[in-house]
Amino acid sequence: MFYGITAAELGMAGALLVSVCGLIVVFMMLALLSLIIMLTSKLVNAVEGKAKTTAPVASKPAAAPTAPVQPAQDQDELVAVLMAAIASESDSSPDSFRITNIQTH
Amino acid sequence: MSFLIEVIGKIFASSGFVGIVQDWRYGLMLVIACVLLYMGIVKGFEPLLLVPIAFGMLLANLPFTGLYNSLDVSNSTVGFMWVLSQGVTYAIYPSIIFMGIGAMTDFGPLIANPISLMLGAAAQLGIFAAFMGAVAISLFVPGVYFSPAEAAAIGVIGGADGPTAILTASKLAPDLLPAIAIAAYSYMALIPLIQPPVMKLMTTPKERQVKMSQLRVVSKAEKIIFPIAVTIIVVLLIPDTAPLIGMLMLGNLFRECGVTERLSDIAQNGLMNIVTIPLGLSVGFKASADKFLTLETLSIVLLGLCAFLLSTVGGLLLGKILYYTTGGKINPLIGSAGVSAVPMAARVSQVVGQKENPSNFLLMHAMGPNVAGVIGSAVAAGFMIKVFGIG
Repeated sequence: MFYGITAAELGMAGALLVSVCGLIVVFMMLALLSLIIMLTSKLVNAVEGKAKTTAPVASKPAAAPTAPVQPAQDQDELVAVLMAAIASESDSSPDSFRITNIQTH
Repeated sequence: MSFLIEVIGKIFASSGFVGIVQDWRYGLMLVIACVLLYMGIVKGFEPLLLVPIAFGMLLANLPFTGLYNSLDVSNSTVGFMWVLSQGVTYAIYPSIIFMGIGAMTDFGPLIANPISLMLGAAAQLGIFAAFMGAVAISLFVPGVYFSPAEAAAIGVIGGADGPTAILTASKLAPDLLPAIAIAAYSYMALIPLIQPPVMKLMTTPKERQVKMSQLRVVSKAEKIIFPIAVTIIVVLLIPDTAPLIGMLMLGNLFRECGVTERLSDIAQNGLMNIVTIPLGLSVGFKASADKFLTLETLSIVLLGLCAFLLSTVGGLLLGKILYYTTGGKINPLIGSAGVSAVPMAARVSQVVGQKENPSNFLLMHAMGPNVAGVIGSAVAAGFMIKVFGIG
């Protein structure tokens, strides 16, 4: 586009224009990706939800570290701590497991 | 006896010592190379890259080696480093490194929270600000000149992404490649020192204490579709991003599809390590005294620092905007992770957040903007190559 142009030919106004255009392109591109991710997620969840309702004997999800009981609302902080600790210790992503119950003895 | 003295004299006359005596800058570059080796080996600053880069620099400044002699078909000779450097000249190594990064990266936090992509975009502010800074220096500072293409390559340092900076420099500013690569990797290693003061300056203790809700679980199908969709959309819109985005997403597909574990393993371990050696050596080897010890290098170091700081500011600014628009649900500290530097920048967000509130865990939330920054800087680099490159 501007191959071989000199700084004097571009000038500060030209540089500003290029910068503004560049930022707009980056924002628009990532906004578009964001939109696509949201649409894909909805689509996948809809398809997977439909598959689950039509085939209730589907394979079980990955083994949860503890018994499948919903965590209490006030345990968010503890869940976050445990998620980070498990992810760090097992060198895995927090997406690869789910804490479903925390039992204290 | 006189024959012996003559032979010894001739050997000495053709030795590298004469070259160093003739041009003191070689000696200075050898000292710089040794300092960089010290920083890599003893201080542990990005040693996997800094050690080969510094050693390449050391080799480049030993005179008369002929290591960089280009291919001479008539005499069947070629310099070893010239052969290795073709991978940088034609942007092969950075693309392969990106494949490895893709295989190592979990895009789950980004898919779970797509708004992270905006933070990754805002943190590219430094690229464009440093570009303007470099053009301004060319226009107003006597004795220093960067063409707009070189200014664009310098700006990409602000993307905090080594392979992207190297690829852009190889296409837009081959002579400035070593200074740009060394500045980019040095600042990436110094992120834990550079970012926290800016983060504290731009946020209030109340903002830093915000706890974000747990991210949703991302399904396997979403993770498989993501790299395919990103490749199609981004490369269709900006074809110049194909080497970076294409390889990044291929590596990620290896990781996520579940049927190519062996390829994923080799991409993120063996292949990445194999390519890192010639990449580092080639980059370092381009830092010969005549090209490196210039006023331009000093300007690049300063502009690179400004680019890093402003990228951090850009991410934090949007983080603050999101904090207010979401009613305090987003901690603005994750915005600074929008500069690529995976996972260092996300760790910095975690550390700064935890200092304010020890029970706060921002790491996974910061990983979203962090990996978005990789895509953002590749898009910004593709834009610059499109605008200032050939064709």
